[in-house]
Amino acid sequence: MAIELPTTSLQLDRRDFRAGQAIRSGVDAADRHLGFRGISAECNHAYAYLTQTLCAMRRFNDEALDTVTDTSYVYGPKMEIEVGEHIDKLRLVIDLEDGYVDFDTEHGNTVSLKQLGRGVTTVTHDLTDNTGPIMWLRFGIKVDVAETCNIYGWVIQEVEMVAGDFP
Amino acid sequence: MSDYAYLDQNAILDDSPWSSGLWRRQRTNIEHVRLERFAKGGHIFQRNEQPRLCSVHPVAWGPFWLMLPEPTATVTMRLYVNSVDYDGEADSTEAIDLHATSGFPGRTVTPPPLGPADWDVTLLRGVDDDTVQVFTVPVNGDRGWVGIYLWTWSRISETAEDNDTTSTFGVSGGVTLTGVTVPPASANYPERALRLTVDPAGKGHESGDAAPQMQIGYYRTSSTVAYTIPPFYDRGTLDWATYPQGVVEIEGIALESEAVQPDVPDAPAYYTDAKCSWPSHQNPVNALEQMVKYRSPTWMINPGHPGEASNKPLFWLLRSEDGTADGYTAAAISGDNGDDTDHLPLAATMIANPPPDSDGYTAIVSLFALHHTTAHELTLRLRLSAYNVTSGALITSGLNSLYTNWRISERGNRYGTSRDYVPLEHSLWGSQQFQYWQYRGGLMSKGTDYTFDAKQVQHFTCEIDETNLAGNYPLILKIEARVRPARSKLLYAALISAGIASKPKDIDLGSV
Repeated sequence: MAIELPTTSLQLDRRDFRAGQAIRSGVDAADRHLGFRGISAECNHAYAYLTQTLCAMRRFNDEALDTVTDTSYVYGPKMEIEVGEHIDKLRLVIDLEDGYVDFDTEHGNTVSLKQLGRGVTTVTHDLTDNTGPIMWLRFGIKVDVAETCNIYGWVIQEVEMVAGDFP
Repeated sequence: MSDYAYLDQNAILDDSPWSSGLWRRQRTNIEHVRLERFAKGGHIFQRNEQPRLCSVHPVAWGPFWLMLPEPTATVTMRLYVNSVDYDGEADSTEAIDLHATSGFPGRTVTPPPLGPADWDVTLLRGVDDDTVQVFTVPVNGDRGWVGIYLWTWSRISETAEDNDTTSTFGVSGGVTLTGVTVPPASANYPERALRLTVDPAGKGHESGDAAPQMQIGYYRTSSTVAYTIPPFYDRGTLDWATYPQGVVEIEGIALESEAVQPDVPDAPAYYTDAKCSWPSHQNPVNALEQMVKYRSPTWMINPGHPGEASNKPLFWLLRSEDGTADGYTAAAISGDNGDDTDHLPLAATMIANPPPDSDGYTAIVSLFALHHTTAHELTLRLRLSAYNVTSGALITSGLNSLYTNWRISERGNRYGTSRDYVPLEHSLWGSQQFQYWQYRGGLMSKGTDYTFDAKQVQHFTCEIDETNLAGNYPLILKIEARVRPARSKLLYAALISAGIASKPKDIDLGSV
């Protein structure tokens, strides 16, 4: 099946579907926002892109949130939250300096490559359960030998769906 | 039962037959979006900075802000508990009661039940470690910014750990206790409740009418302890005693909303032979568009993280115009009379990428004005500014939101002359004395009528448009403030909490 998945809203107008208005097929692109096909595409858009930011952190004065010199992962606290159904991935975007990060969840973990110097590292974790699980999240950081790893900010998000994620 | 089933884009073509099954499936898909793409947000506290919550009276922690895009029935709060401590007590002892309520800007916060027996949960020492406590908080169909409050009420040991009499008032508006027994370091549960038994002269009390007054728990690191005291206490001799109390250490908080059922017909309306009516088609479209337009991410910001200088863990000294620099720096912006360098960063979050159809961001911040040397009313300017993640360079600032007549609580630290004893204020000042951050965000009830100190807390909003942000992600958003007039005068204000939400296009979420 071909999945029609617009990246932005089609801006459907309920007044186009009121009494006396002909509901079109929406096959023609110009009729998409007036027809059944447009409703279907808009619903797909909503399901794919209404993903949420689960949590984030940053100090107001830009100081480091945490610093470690350990060569084994040092994990932070946990949070438990319900993830939406059919969301296959979570994304950790972290402002990291000289170290590794392990994005650890109740449904598996993913480690990053080493961040040399300071930069933004993205760790995308494939969930082993996409049925809308209630799960805990955390992450840990570590260094190689004789280094200091700092983190300055981070975000954890539900990754938006792509066409292949649809049931 | 709801489940998402993709509809092929060629399911309906020109001149193809009209199918009741297609409409029914579409209706089910829309319902599934409602149930699985709900507004949510959470907060993981930083390592070594997990809050240890305790209180001898009901205390509300928060608000933890969540933007509710649509009329919402309930918000579920999941509290990850690290440990439940109660020094000197056996495992399984009831240690602390928890309850969750909601409140909206400008309106009364729902109080907890009067008795702890009716609270949501009682945590047991040593039993409820490493657990998740779930609270269902009704919000009664409301929408917009909602503040979720976590209430605590500690159990107090029946046996005093230490007690004595003192007449030493070594702190302005307070009392210094010396020779207090320090719990052994091995106990590692340093929070203690303090009971003062004093002569409450004035305030409707007869002299000699001694009565006990319980005070907040505290972190004790030495044998000299200072407390602020209520204004009606006569500064004579007072008896004091300390008690172990229940404490809960938390790791993270998550909020999940459930929108009310939209006005969409049930599935049988789309069955074969059911009469086709226009509401059956218009209403699902309306529900879908409401979700697409309004459901946008929220970034919860808890300012309890003591990233600032170690001697400023509790008070956020809002720098007034020409005020004394306090170690903070804020970005300059050109073209605004050159005086915007006085903006002070209050809270920040990191945003990785813009949500689809986002038109910028709206922020809410909760402030409690405690004291100013001269003014009773101030003008507060708030704005959202975007910064580069790694370099810290300013990208752009939103317009100032101007709030005039921001009222000071008129109490400050002068307990001897203030009109009422405000537990929140007491809590904040007492905590400042010890330079611990645990009581930031703690809002105490006032007496047994549960009149809430939150009425003293004021909530302000500001916005920034997406213009000039595109191409700069990931970025940092900071809520910044400036206070005027009162040159060279300092304002003592407590920042309670804040939140940021994505602002969908053509939607004005700025007013509360």
